[in-house]
Amino acid sequence: MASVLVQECERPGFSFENCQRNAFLASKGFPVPKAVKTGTTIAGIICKDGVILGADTRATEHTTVADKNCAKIHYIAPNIYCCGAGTAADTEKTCSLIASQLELHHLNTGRVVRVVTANNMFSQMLFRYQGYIGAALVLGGVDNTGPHLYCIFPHGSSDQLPYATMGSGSLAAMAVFETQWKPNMTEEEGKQLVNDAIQAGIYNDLGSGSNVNICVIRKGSVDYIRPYGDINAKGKRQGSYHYKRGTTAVLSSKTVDIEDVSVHTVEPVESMDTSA
Amino acid sequence: MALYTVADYRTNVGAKTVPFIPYDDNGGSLVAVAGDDFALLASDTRLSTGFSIYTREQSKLFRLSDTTVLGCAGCWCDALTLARILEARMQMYLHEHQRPMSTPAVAQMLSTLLYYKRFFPYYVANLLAGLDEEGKGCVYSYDPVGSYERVHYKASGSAGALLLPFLDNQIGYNNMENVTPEPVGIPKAMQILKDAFISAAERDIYTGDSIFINIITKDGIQEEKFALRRD
Amino acid sequence: MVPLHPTRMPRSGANVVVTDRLVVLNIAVLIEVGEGAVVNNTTDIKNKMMEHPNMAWMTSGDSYSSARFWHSGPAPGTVYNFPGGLAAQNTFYTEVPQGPITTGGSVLGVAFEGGVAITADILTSYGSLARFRDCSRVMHVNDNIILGAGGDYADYQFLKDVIQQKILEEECLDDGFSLKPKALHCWLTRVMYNHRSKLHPLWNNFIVGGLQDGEPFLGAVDKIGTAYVDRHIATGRGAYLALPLMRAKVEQDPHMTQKEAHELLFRCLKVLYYRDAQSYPKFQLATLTKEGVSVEGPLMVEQNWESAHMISCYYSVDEDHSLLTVLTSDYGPFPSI
Repeated sequence: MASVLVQECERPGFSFENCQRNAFLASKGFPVPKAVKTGTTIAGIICKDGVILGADTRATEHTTVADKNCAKIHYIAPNIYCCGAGTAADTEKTCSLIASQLELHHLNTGRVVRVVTANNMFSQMLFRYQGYIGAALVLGGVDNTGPHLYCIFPHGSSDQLPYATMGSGSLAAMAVFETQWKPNMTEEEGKQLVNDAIQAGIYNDLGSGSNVNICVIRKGSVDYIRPYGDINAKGKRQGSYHYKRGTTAVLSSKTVDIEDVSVHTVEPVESMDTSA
Repeated sequence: MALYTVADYRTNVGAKTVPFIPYDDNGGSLVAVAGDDFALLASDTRLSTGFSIYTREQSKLFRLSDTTVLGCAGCWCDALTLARILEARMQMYLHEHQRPMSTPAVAQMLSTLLYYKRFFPYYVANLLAGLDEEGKGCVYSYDPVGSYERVHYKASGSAGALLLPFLDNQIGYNNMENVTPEPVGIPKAMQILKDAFISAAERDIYTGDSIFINIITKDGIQEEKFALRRD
Repeated sequence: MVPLHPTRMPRSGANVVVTDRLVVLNIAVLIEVGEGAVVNNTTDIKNKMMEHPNMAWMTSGDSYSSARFWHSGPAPGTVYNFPGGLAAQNTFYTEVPQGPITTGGSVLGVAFEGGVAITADILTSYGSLARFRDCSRVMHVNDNIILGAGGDYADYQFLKDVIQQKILEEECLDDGFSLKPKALHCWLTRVMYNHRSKLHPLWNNFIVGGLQDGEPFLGAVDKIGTAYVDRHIATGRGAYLALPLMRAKVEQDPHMTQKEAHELLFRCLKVLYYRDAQSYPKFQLATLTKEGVSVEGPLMVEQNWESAHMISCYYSVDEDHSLLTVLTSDYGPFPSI
């Protein structure tokens, strides 16, 4: 037995055995379940003193709105935020995974983490998963080397750009940037521009909707504005839809008497020190 | 031991030919309510394809006579064609019989026209609303190949499944105890209809922008417009 | 009776249609068989052939289909693949090459106070190849109508001839009436819908513009006959990139002047040139007012590439064409380098 004498080595390269398994399962009538995909408009720009990120707040399941006010701008580090489009679970989990790795990196090095580090970690992770993690990201932040904006695609390629858009509404938002963006915009101008770009996505792309969220990252401070402005309020209902008591039929009822109630108090466990 | 034959997991291999699909889903929702002496028919005005909006101002209602209105949602090119054929048949009937076709007669003819295309169907959700020969409100609901029935109220189109339970509850009084069903009047029906569309626009991406409402009474057809969210 | 041989097979009224890939034989009914006997339909021919013991191979199986002309050759009404010999077995349908071949891109149209303007670039593509760079895609139909076309250029040229013939015939009547935009729009919906119903579409998007009873009219028709009317219409990639800009402008200023409408279109064309890989900086602009029609161009898109140096691609830092991305999935555009 060769395996007893010589330890069997792992074959190099990627293993796609699970793809084959999934194809087999699908052929037997067990397809991979469909995930929530956020048809989305996300965008970001570099302005004079920082980075401004924006996102809409609609999450869709096919043609139904799954969440009318979800947050698509995720925390990465105190100086870095990231907008996510694509599969909702993938964007959220990828961002929180990288956020925790960057926190450890920060604790190890004792420095403010750089945006380029986050970009590398994202693109390396996404490349490793060959596009199966459906996360399309706009990553922005300010570090010691200034403001940075990256656009990261699900297969792991990334661009460094002065203005970026992603998601199904990316073309609508980009049309706004292409006509109105200019270098060294003030923060107010920048917020207005990102707002206009996201609204272009909200009104012209059916996958995007509801409100605008904006995140302004400057050196040393962050403004997470949710919602930015007040658009798309729900229409006013004309009737009142309350039911009289007893409208719902009671099919059967059973009464159980509760005796002997005892109360246990659990002492809180000492929490981990995460300061500095 | 893993199998290292690489599965062909790629879906886009080689040159692609563009298949021709003769249908499109252009969305849109319809609601119709029949009362004792009136009928209401409403459609939203968003015409869309995929994730984009063609236009925000497309009524999906076709006035066939002074007492009959047709609502079509689904594949818009089929809807246009079907409505045009119906309009022509209405004219032919009018000139042959010297009176307009009654709503139940239009209803039967629509069913026949739909089934005529059984194996290349009009991909359209139809609602026909109007007054019958006795002046009572009537609503007819269809499937794309011509199965139809007369109903008191109906919702169909892209948000049909969202709208109908609300109508079942508010107009049909389904599954409710200690409630005496009351016949619905025009103000109440209008209120339910608008509120239903407000809610549908919240959750269905193909429903929005505004609604056109046709109020059919013996005095003629009134039209009303009502704004919805546009995102 | 002389046995039939392909080279001695006399036929008359044979109509051979040669298309891109297929040769369709549509042989008319009058065929001479044997010793000068004339038969008048293919069933008779087959029966005659079947009488002869050596003619059994002439029939292709079932008794309802017509005989083949020669061994492995086509039967009347069947498809014959010219190099390759064997006739297609299925006589119930004919295969038609489908999909657009040489295509035009986006078309944009806006209505303004007192008129309409339609614009399109002058490129036609062959897949992603920029094939012909001087193809007009806007048409002066008559003094009341202008038309813009996207999609398959051959289909457009075909329909353009038909429309021009319509206009010509109408002018010959000399009754003082001329085609109105709504009428052409409606006619186009029927032509497109009827073609799609035969599963043989004209692969085009049209924008019809004009003045209908003094009011601006702008209507769209696509390859399956979907039709609508609006004050601003964009087809192709323009529906994603230009329409948001047009809607924002019209909402803010519903009564545009001609000058504002032109500026809006120029802005949209610029964005399309920046972001649509199948666009081109040269374009034509058709404007219709009650003064008449003008088709200007080729004009040039104003460009500014000053911010290009601020972009660095992760894999290829200096490649400017990383700007041009293609929409491939619902995540948005993926870059292809």
